[in-house]
Amino acid sequence: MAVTPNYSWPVPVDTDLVKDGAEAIKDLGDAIDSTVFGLPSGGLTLITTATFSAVSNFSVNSCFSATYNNYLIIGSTLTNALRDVGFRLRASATDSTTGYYGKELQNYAGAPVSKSNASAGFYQVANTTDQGLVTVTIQNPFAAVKTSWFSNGIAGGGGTFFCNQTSNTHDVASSYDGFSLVPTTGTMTGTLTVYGYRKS
Amino acid sequence: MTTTKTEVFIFGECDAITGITTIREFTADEITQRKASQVEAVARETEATAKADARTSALAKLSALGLTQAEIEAL
Repeated sequence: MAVTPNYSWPVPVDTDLVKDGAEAIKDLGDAIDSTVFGLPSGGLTLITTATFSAVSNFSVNSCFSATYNNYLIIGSTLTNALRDVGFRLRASATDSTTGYYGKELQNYAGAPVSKSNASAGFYQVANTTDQGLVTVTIQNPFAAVKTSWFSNGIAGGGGTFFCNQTSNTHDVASSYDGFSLVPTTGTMTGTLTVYGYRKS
Repeated sequence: MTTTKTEVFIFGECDAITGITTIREFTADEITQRKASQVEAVARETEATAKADARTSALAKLSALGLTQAEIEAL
């Protein structure tokens, strides 16, 4: 009996008897099963991807659940006139419109901007002519506790380069299964992808 | 004759379980909420502009006192 070079699974050698083949296959299968069962299962799982065009608001429903505690949301090619795109949590297709606190650092408006008990948290950044990228790391949206998230965004280029970093808390201890992007003016076009971080 | 153009707000909504995206017009409540958000945004921009103006003014006064740019940046 020989073994494979990487995982040392048992395999027959050329001189082993054919009549022992069934046992050899069984041993090999058991060894593979044992190895695969023990492999780490962490990482990101794709939950959904949505594309939208020229909408005044975009919501994703039923993307948060008890399966995950932490999520990564990636917004791509987002375009909007004001760059002031808010983020709301929602439950059963209804936005929560109070209790958002946040701080935003950015390169396009000078001083940091705050939100206190606002109707939406920070998401941003978008731009009228150049495609933007925003990542949101959000914790515990589904659990009935306060939800927090960071967002980082870039848009534009050259002389019209925009970037921001935001920190947010939704000070409402309720469960939410979705979120909305809510610009204060104009429309948005882009793509959203939601991933869940596996718990183990 | 004067005509008034009414802005139409489009609401996009995706269900992560079915993968289906639906498009509809805003409800009256959603239009009201959006207008409230616009008021919030204007207030934030006003606050940010005021802070930026105050900083510019403070820097000018420090410079007038004789501080160099390096000294101001070290504060």
